[in-house]
Amino acid sequence: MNEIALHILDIAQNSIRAGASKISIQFIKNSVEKLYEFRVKDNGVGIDEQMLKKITDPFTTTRKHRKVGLGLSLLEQSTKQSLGEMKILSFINKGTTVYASFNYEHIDSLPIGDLTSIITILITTSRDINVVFDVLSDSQIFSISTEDILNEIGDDVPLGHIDVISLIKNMINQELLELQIYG
Amino acid sequence: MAKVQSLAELKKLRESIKSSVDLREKGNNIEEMVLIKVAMATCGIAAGAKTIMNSFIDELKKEKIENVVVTQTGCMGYCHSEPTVEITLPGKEGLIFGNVDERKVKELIERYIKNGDLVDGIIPNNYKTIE
Repeated sequence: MNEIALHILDIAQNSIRAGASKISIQFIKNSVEKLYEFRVKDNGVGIDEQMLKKITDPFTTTRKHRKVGLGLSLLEQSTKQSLGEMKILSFINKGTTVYASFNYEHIDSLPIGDLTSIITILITTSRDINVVFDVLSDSQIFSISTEDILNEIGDDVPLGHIDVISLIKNMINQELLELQIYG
Repeated sequence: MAKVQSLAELKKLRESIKSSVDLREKGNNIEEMVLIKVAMATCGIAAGAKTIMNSFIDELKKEKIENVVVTQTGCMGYCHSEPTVEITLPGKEGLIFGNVDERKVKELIERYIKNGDLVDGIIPNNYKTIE
């Protein structure tokens, strides 16, 4: 896991497994505090207190088909190595928010990575999960959601259609370049 | 929160989608399409599933294969063989391929998706790992 974008994808998978119908993701480039920050907020089943206490233990998982759960442990490690932090706030049946920050001037900070692909993959996950993705760079914001796409393509075009995906990807790529998120 | 994203861009998206995939006219529906699912849990992501998904999208575009839906799925329990990809050809049962790399993507498109020939690397669906 060597890009922040991959961590975002990984954390969002937890929200999907939690049965969320709405997932809001923000990626923030904070040039005042020199931070890359992201927040993944869902309305899924939530995590109980007992589980929260040991959630970053790699040998903790709710899955049945494997015994390890590395996602949050790896994220915690990645944030700590650049002196950033990770926070989890969760309420049973209300949802979960995961926040992570990285000091991007720190030598051990992860690079942003391929944010374009990650946004494309997440917003085209499913018609039943509305994924809202905001990218903020200083005072500028770019936002796109599953709903935006569904409004355009209607009912008869599949969300994951190869042409739909390629178009969305090109569009996001242009928008991110305008935001100058990478430089 | 104001959206900076240009609406004209979305309109353009709609126009191109409508012109390029007018599914009703072509008589296609999802059951008649090839479904490609890339496993994207921690194990898959760490093994490079995102790159595999990108190369599927790029290769399919390059080969001008249009009746394909590409999507992601969670961990299927085959962490030892990530990246894994499930491909369902129309009217057939889905097959899971393991240890997929960029060369494998080309082979899968060329041989399995185009011609229906079986390719190495199939994970049998009765394969069990833990316990």
